[in-house]
Amino acid sequence: MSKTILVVDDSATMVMSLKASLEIAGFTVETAGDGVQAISKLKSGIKPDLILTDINMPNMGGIDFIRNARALPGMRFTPILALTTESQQAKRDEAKKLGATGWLVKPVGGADLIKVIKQVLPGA
Amino acid sequence: MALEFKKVTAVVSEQMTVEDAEILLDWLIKHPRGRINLSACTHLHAANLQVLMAARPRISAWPRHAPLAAWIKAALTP
Amino acid sequence: MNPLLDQFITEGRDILQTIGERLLQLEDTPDDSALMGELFRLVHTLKGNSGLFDLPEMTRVLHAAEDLMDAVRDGRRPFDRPVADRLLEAMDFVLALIDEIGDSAEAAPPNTARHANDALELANALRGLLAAAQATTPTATETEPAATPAPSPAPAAMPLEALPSRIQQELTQRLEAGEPLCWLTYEPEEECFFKGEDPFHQILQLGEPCWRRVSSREDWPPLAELDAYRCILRFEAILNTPAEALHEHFRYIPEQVRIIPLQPPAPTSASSSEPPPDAETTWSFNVVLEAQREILGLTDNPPWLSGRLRAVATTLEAAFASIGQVVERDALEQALHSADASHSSQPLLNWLDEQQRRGDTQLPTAASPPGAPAEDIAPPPEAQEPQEPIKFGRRAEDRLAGHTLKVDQAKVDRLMNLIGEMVVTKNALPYLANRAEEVFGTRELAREIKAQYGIINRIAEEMQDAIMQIRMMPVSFVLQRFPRLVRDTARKLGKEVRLVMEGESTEADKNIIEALADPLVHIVRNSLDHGLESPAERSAAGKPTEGRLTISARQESDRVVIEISDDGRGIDPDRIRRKAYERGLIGEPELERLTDQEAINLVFAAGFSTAEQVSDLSGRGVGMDVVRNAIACVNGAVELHSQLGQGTRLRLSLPLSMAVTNVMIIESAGQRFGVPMDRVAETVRVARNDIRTIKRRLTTVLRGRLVPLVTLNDLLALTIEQVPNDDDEFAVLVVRIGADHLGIIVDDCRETVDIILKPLGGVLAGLGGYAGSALLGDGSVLLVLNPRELL
Repeated sequence: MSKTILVVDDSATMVMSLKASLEIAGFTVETAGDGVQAISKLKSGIKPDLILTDINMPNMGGIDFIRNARALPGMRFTPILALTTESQQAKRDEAKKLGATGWLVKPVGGADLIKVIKQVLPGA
Repeated sequence: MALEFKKVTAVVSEQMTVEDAEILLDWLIKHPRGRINLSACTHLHAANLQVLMAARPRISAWPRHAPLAAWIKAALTP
Repeated sequence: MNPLLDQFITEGRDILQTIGERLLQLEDTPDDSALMGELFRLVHTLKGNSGLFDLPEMTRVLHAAEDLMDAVRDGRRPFDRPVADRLLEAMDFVLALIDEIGDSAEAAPPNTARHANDALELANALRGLLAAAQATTPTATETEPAATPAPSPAPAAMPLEALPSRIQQELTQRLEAGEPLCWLTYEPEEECFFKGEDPFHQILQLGEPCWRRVSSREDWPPLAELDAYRCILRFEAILNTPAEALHEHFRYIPEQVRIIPLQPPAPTSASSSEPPPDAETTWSFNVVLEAQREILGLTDNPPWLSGRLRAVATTLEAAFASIGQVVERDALEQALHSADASHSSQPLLNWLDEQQRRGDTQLPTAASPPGAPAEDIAPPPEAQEPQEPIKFGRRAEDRLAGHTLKVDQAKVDRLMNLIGEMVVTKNALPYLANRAEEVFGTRELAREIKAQYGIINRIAEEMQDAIMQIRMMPVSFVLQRFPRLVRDTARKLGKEVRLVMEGESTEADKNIIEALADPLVHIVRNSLDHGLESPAERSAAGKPTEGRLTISARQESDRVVIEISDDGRGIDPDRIRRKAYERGLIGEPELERLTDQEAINLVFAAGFSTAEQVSDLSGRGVGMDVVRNAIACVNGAVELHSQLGQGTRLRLSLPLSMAVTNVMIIESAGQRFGVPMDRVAETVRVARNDIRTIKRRLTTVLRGRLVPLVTLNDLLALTIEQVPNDDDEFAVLVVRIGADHLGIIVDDCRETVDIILKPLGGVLAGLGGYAGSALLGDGSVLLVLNPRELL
């Protein structure tokens, strides 16, 4: 069964690009435009095997999203990768502390993306 | 579900997830002499490894997947 | 175009639009941290998106902008004018690139390399602001701590001795054979499972170790007390993997691992620093360089020159890398680019000379430390801010950004035409009902036709309304450019101006809104240029130094009214009179007689320009007459009010829609014509006796006011007398032409009707005097006059 990945990013372009890379690699992709949307998706019963989330988003940013997502019952152990830029060391550290598994630095190439996902997601 | 319980043997298939660790732990508490068949196991989450190390059950079959078997053997047979 | 690129362009335009707005807002409230955060996020998003494509110029500029915004957000650099100016310029540049990409029909983004210089210059300007800030406050920098691995505890007691001697032997052999063995200790933090980590999965990816051990950091508790989810594992292994690869593998949790490179027992002097290039490398490096020089020295100019140059550049970059010298990629790119453009190898040769000259100073000792990012080498010229702002592409004001109507306009127009025909066709039904009754005597059928007509009429009207709604757009479509325009223009003129906009959501037909764009720009520029005074002049006059320019829009019944007012110096009627007289626009009698308001209205006269000297802003001889004509074209009217020393107010009144025109039907020379009702002030009957000839012009007195008269037949060049009614009275249509009234004598005034006005087409298109034509319910064609043109 293919693994499901939830992509959270406010940029439709970024979502489209990530989705394409992930689908080519055989993942099922769910998307959300910000943290609020993503949380309601998770509450509605979607249980991704991994979450990719942007940090800078309106409504609910990535940091708050990670904190809120970890508090949901089914999301305690789910790997979460934060999408950051190279200048965001502080954000990365904060995200990691709050429960992110790791991070990717934008722009993320398709091959790198899949490589990192395989590193954190057993059986991917 | 990667765990199937047959009398005194727990048979693990494919991947044991982090959630499986609690189930495995419960079963091992209830079946102190329980055995584990890992032959079809391809991966087990570290939480399961931890449970196995603490419980030291008898392994009735090691994983066919050699690298996994080597590490689990190293963990359970110091 | 591929969908991703398409999406990027659409989103990019939206983001740029918002960035522009937020920058201007931030100038007013520089302490608004939410605004600042949003701005950073937008720039950041755009940069991230641009990185998905091969658009190095765009990414370079956005990257610099992002860094600057980051510094501003963190308070390392105040948000001030230079910052806003540079960021706005950067966004103009990016918009120009996006437009260029959008205009190209290619599937992949076009090569934008020819903007490389601009991009470099802009990025440097942005970084210059950053450098200036960092020079002053060096403490607050929160740059990335170089990706140094967590300091591994010193390998105090190399635990190798604890290993079985068989393993020790094996390790020694492998180390002597040059294998990069590392000792790894991985102690995952207790709560690591709750961060989605699986330490065992990490370990399993490392490959078969030479030696391994899995243990617990604490004694195992009784099973019943075990917390399966508190990780107390410890993994140890000796791996045939370079330390860097291990650091990379555990990059998310450097504090949880210890990585100790093992060394052969026989101590050697191998230092940890990069060895200098050995003789062999240096030799082959020189050979490669000579070969490239030879190629560049070729003087032929083959069609594949461009490919050859690119190959040389790539080879050179690799060659320098081989001796550990990081080349300045952009400089090389630029050299390649200008070589390409000039079909000459010289720029690349120059680059090579420069590179070698620089390299010679370094080479004897060692190569420059690897890994120094090119960014660092590229020198931000000086920490000073460039004097002259850099101009890029079209400015925001030159272009209506965004595309609010997502439907092809032709489709909406077609709907509009169809409903127009429908309205006209439906109007034939009452005629049909009358014929049924009068010609065929079937009153019952007539009544049914009328009933059906009522229903069709209602549906048609609703449909028409719905279609017109599609074409409605908010005034903000044209107003959105003004914050930037006012800001830039005011700055250029050294004036301080606050722009207030009201009622931006007021809607009108797309054509009307679009027709507003140019006149509004002209009016606003006029106001900034001539209306509002310099700060000094204002304070001398006891006004606040900051001038106020208000653009307000609102709907008044079926018209949209736009007012542009300023609190500037106002218009001096005396000066207008003098100018008008000097220019021969008025004679001496008028000089005395004109009221102040009439004098002010003279600015609308063709060829009138009040500017003492033509400025490059509102200048080039375009006067207010152009504004008035443009507004009149869409059946709009302009009113100008001004109070000397207090300010000026221009009121534009336009129809909400051009789709339906209310016309009065008149008769003349046995023909029917339409006259738009918004031109008609009144219709009166004037007895032949009341018409006088003054200075060979027909005139009459209406309510104590002298009104000049013309006959329609004269205007239409018909040599037929107008026909009076039985009481020898003429029908006179009084029309407004600007502020003046004029009576047009016709044969008869009839009813008013709503029509769909269509411009004249084909050979008739060039005919002045007609606003267009319309079909009437009985199928006949009505020509609609344009009185303004006729006169």
